[in-house]
Amino acid sequence: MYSHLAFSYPLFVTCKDNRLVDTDEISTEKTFEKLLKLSKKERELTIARWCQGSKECMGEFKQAVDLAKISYDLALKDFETKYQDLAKKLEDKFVDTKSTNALELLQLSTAVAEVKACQDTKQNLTPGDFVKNNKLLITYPYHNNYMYITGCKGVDTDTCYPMGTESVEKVIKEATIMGVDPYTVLSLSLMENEAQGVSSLYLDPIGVMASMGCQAKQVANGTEGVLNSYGTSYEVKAEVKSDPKLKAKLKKYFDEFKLGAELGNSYYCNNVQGGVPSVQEKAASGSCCIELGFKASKNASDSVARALVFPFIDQITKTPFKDKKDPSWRLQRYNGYTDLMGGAESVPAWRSGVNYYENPMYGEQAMDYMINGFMNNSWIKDKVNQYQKLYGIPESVICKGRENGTFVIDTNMYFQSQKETPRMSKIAQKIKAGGSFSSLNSREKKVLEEELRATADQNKFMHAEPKIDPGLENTISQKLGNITEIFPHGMLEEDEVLNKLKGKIKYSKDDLSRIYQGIKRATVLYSEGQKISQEFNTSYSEVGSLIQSNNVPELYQVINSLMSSDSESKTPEEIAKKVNAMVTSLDKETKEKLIKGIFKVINKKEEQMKLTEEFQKIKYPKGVSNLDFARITAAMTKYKTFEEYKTLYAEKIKADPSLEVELLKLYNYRQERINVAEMGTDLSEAAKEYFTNIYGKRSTVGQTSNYKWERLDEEQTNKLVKKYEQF
Amino acid sequence: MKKIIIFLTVLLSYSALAFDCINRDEQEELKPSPGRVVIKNFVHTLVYEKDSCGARGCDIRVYSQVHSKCMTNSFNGKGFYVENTLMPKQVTISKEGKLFTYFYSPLRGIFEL
Repeated sequence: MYSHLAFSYPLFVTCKDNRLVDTDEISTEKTFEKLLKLSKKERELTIARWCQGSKECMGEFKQAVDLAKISYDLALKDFETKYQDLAKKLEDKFVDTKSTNALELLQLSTAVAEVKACQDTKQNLTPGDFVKNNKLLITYPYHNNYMYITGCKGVDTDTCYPMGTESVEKVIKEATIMGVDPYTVLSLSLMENEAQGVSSLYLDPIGVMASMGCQAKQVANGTEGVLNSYGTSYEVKAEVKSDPKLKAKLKKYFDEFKLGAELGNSYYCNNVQGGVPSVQEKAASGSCCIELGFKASKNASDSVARALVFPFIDQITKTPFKDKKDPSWRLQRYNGYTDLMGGAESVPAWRSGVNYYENPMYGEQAMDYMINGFMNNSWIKDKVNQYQKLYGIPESVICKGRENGTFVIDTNMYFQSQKETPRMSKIAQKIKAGGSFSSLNSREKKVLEEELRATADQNKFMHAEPKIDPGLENTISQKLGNITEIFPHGMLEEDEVLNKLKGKIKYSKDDLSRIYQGIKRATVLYSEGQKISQEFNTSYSEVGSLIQSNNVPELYQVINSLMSSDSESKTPEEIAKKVNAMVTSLDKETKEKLIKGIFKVINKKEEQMKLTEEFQKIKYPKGVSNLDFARITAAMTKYKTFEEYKTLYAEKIKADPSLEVELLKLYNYRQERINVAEMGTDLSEAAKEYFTNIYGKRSTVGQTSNYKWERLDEEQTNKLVKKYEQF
Repeated sequence: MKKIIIFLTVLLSYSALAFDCINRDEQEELKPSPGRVVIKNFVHTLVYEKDSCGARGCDIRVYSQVHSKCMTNSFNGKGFYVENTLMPKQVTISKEGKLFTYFYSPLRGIFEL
């Protein structure tokens, strides 16, 4: 089967033994020309095959052919429309059996030579035409968020930072030596870095550790003989891994880059207690190591780290994702899958709320880079061929799992698919079905709240919050000696608050009074809770250290059961009984310490739970929204004047005059937040407004992005090309 | 890094104080299923889908029991989970080569740096 638009800008790929052995691109226009040049019989047969016997469809194509006798341009336009309509009705993106081999289906076998000749117009540009002052010209066709592949983030950007030819060539060489498709590596590199960083594909050290086969497990701080990093201790299993295939590839990598691989053996080791991983003569004890199978110097350590990126890519693209055939599903694994983009960590609005299980946008863009950024570049193709002749052709993600033969890829497909990718569709369904903001799950709330804030200026139920440098508070706090409250303040009396909110809020005086009292009590409980929380943390850490240093992790079960049970006795006697039953090897003194510690932990936990339950029991009038709580609490806050705070920090300001400006900025921000909170924001109402009047204009990636998500026109292309002339 | 907690921030984040107990959708996530990693201890349950794991880590979520009838979504993040079976009450994830440890605030019901 063919995909939608598969006929419009197809790229022919020839696969053999999972390897990509040839690529050729033709355009809709060329396809139309081929169709016109066919004999009448061949043409009818071709159209019949495209239309799968549909008389209506065949009639429409015949009409386009007839129209060409009068006006070629009109006919071509007509043809393109019909071509695309037809394609949209078809299912798969790829031709997937040999029986529907692209060339056979198109019945263009006699015209292939001519098609290739047309294609050669582009190919006739010599590889050198793509290079200027060691910078690579990439002719990426779209105005979208990913156009930075050209080195320019926009058409009108003043400065561009294109890829250096040396970096690109290095990536191609490295990948080919390591047996990984260079187009895949280049594409993923561009997904992770801007154009200049094309050779800086990076794996998280924990990921590298995992790719070496070593696992890490966190242990209590203070434990001896473990890795301590960024204030956290963890235990890495010390072992030596040896993989013959990996050893052979690393040897080749070292030989070809003249990194010094001599006869003998050496190891690449990560000390489990920390430090920089390095090449060692012998597998260092207490380390996670891989055997290299040749003798390398310590200076080559970074090269091993870099080379380990390639097996990782090979690993993630080896198998299909579920029953999906398109390569984009495999490439998506580099980023991972999520059903709600932005549900974990915030992402830019244009791609928040995307479901990667339905639209693997990351993988699709990697594919788009591959076919529209790299495969159509003569210089890159030339380098790929050059190194593949030397080191062999690695398996390609495009050909993996496919029969041998020639297939067609629509070069516009991945762009179009991303552009039309729905955002927040599940949330929209819930709200449209009558759900409220509060009926959403927490991740959905997070995504929608960010979207509401992003569209606050279009939403009458939203009040835009002031913006501030997120690090400012920390900077000021540090300058003031790590204080926890920069602007100590009080709380307004009940009467003052009631007067302030009179006529501005829907509650009666009595109800407002109950809310005021409730919040006042909650504030006290919160403050007490902070203290207990710290004590709980301290006592738990102490017990944790004892458990770790005496190697009795089974005692966590005791703590676990005591904390989760409501009815069980939690006296020291009961705890002693449990501890004694589980641990027999420890001396009396240690056991007593543990029992005391556990008793303290349990007590603190109970205090916390009591406080939490009391907190929950505070009675408020029915139907008070969280936003109303925020409004009222903001109205209760009583800051001093800025002059008073200035006096409070006079000495510090004298020593560092910039502190006054920073304090004022933060003070104004706090005041502004109070104003916004007093105005109130009802997220449920805002969500309804959003899905009624705003969502229609932001329901897809293409609609939401600041980029046009259109093909670059001639003028824009010329502008970009001119920038290259400045290099 | 010291987290500064200010009165106003706390009050404006009232929803966190009021403990947004998770609904049925999210309770489903706590049930083990193929491809889902679930790590439980007495008060916290950490989950992530194996499919969500890429070169930058996994989408990790933690749900915590704030009292006997209420569990709340206490952590959302992307990174490699550094195994610690949620002990003593912290989640450590590795992101871009750095370790970040989030500590649980029982009264606020969330993990924070």
